[in-house]
Amino acid sequence: MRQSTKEAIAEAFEGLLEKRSIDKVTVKDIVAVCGINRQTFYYHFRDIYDLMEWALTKGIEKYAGQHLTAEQDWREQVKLLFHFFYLHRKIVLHGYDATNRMQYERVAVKWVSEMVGGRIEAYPQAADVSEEKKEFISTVYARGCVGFLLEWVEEGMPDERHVRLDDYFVMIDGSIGYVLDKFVKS
Amino acid sequence: MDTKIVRYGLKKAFGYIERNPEENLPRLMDWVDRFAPEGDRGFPVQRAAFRQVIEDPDCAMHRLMYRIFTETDKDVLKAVFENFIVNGNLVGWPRQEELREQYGCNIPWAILLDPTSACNLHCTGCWAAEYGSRLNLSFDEIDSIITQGKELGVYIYIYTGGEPLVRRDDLIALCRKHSDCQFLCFTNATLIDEGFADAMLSVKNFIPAISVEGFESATDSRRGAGTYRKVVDAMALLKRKKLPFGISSCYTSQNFESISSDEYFDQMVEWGASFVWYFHYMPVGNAAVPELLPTPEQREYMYRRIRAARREKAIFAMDFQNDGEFVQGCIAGGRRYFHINANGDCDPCVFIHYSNANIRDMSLLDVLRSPIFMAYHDGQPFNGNHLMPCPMLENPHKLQEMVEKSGAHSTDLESPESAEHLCEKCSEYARNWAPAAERLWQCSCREKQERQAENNAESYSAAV
Repeated sequence: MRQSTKEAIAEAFEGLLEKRSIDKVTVKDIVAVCGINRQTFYYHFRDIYDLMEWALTKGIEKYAGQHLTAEQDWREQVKLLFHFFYLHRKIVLHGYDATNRMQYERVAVKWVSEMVGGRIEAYPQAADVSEEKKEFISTVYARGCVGFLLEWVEEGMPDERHVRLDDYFVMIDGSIGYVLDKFVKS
Repeated sequence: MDTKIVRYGLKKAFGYIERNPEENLPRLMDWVDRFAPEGDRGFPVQRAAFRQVIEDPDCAMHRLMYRIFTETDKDVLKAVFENFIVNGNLVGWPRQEELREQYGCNIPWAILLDPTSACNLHCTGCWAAEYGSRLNLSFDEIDSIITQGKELGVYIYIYTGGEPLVRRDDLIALCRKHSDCQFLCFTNATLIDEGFADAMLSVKNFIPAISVEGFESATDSRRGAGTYRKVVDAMALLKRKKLPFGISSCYTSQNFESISSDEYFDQMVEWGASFVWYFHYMPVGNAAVPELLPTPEQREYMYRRIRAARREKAIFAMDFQNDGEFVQGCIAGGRRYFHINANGDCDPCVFIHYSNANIRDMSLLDVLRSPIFMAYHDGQPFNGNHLMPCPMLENPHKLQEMVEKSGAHSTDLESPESAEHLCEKCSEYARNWAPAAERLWQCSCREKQERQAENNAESYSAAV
C-alpha cells in the first residue's frame, strides 16, 4: 500500500528527532527530507507540535494494534504505554520540551483513561453510574498515572521500574469499587 | 486582558451553550460584557444590539442565531467565535487602535487578497477577467501577509479573485497554519466538492461567500449553462456537512428586483445561507458599461428592501454601498480593509485599482503608509452623508484628486484605465444620486434621533 503523505511526513520527522531535539527541527528540514513543499506540510499539520501529537498517537495506536489483546489485564495495557515510551526513548526525549508537555499529556491521558474506563465497566455497579461520573473517575486516575509518566520522562527515562506502577495499581483497584458505590444514581 | 484567560473562559462558555443555546446564550453575553474593554473599544452599541437579539424570540435575527446554533458544526462554530469575535475584534481591535495612534496611518480590520487571477468560469462583465489567468500570490507570500497582518492585530482574511478555490489546497494549508485567523472566501462554488467540504470541517476557520446571480436563468445566462445547478448542489452539500456559508450578490439595473424579492430571500434561507452580502455594480475597467448602474430609484429600492429584510428574514443582509452609516463611510484604504491583487499590488479598495505599493517590495505597514493609502487616511470620510461614501462612485472628483496627488498608477494589468476615464463614468450617477441620498440621509438621521430620545426617556423612567 502506498504510504500516505501524513505518514511520510511523520516518518521524516521521527528520523530527524533521532538526531536532534525538537527545537532544532524546522518545517524546512522536514519537507526537505520527504521531498515535498512547505504548503503540503501545512495542508496536513498546523505546526511541528501538531505533527508531533499526531505521530505520537499513531505510534501508540500501531504499537497497541500489535501488542494489545482482549485477554490482557488493564494493568498490562497501561504498562504497554510505558513500554512504548521506553522503546522510543530517544525520540521521546528529543521531542519533549516545556511547550509540548500538553500534547504528551493529552495523548497519554486519553490512552490511560480508556484502559481505566474498561476496568470500571467490569464492576457490577457501573451500570448504575452516569457516563459523566465514570468519565470523571477515569480522568482522575489517568491524570495520576500520566503525572508519573511525565515525571519519569523528565528524569531522562531510567529503567521503567523506577515508576511505582504496581503501587499505583493496588491503590486504584482497591478504590474503584468504593467510588462507584458513592456515585450510584440515587 | 490575558488572551489565555479569554480562551479558557470561551471554552467554558461554549460548553454551556452547546447544552442549551436558548437558555445559555444570554449567559455567554454576560461573559462577553464583563471582559470587553471599557468605552468605545469594547463595542458597547454592538453588544447592546446583540443582547436585544438574544432576548427577543420573535425577532428575525433571533431566529437566524438559533438557526446558526442548531445547524452548524459545533467545532466550526467555536472556531468562528474564537477567531472572528475574540481574535478579530476583542483582541485585534485594541491592537489596531494602538497602532493607528502610533503610526498615524490606517490599520485595517480585514485584508482582502487574490490568491490567483485564474478562474474556471468566464462570466459576462466580471472584472476579475481583466487580470488574465497567469498571476498568483505564492503560498509563502500569502503566509507572509498573514504573519505580518497578525502583528498588526488583523485576524480576518477574505479571498477574492479570480476564483480562489483554484488554489484550494494552499488555502486549506494556510487555514491550518493560521488557525487563529478567520478566513472568508468569495467563490463561484463550482469547485466545492465532498473532499473540500471535509477539509473545511477539519480546519474549521474557512467560510465561503458564494456568488449567486438570482434564480436559474439569471445565473446561467451570466455564468454559463449548468452553473446554477452546480451552485445549488454545493450549497446543499455545505448544509448537509453543517458548514456555515453566505451568499454574495451584485445588484445592477437589470437584476435588482429579482435578487431582493421575498421569494429570493426565502430561497436563500432555505439553501441554508447565514448571510448575504450585496454589492452595488461598479463601472470599473475600460470595458465596463455604465448602463448597468442602478438608477437613484433603483438604489433607493434596494436600500428599503434590504433594511426590511433585516427585520423580517432570518438571514444577515449587508449592503456594501448603502450601509455606510454603520461604519462611518468609506472603509477602504486600510481604514477597515484594503485589497491585494494576484500581482501583489495593494489597492485601497477591491474596486479601486490605483496604487503605489506592492507587497513584494515592502512591508504591510509601509503599504499602509504609502501615498494613496495616506490620501485615503487624510480624506476619510469623503462625505458627511454616509449614503455617499465612495470617493469614486458618489464623489468621483475625490478619487481623481487622490490619484493625481499621490501619483498612484493603475494596477489593472490587462487594460489600464485612467482615473479620469473611470470617474467620468460616475459623475452623472453621482449628480443624480445626491438628492435622493440627501433625503434618505435626513430621514435616517431623524429616525436615529427619535430612537435616541426614546432610549433616553426609557432610561429616565427606569431611573425614576
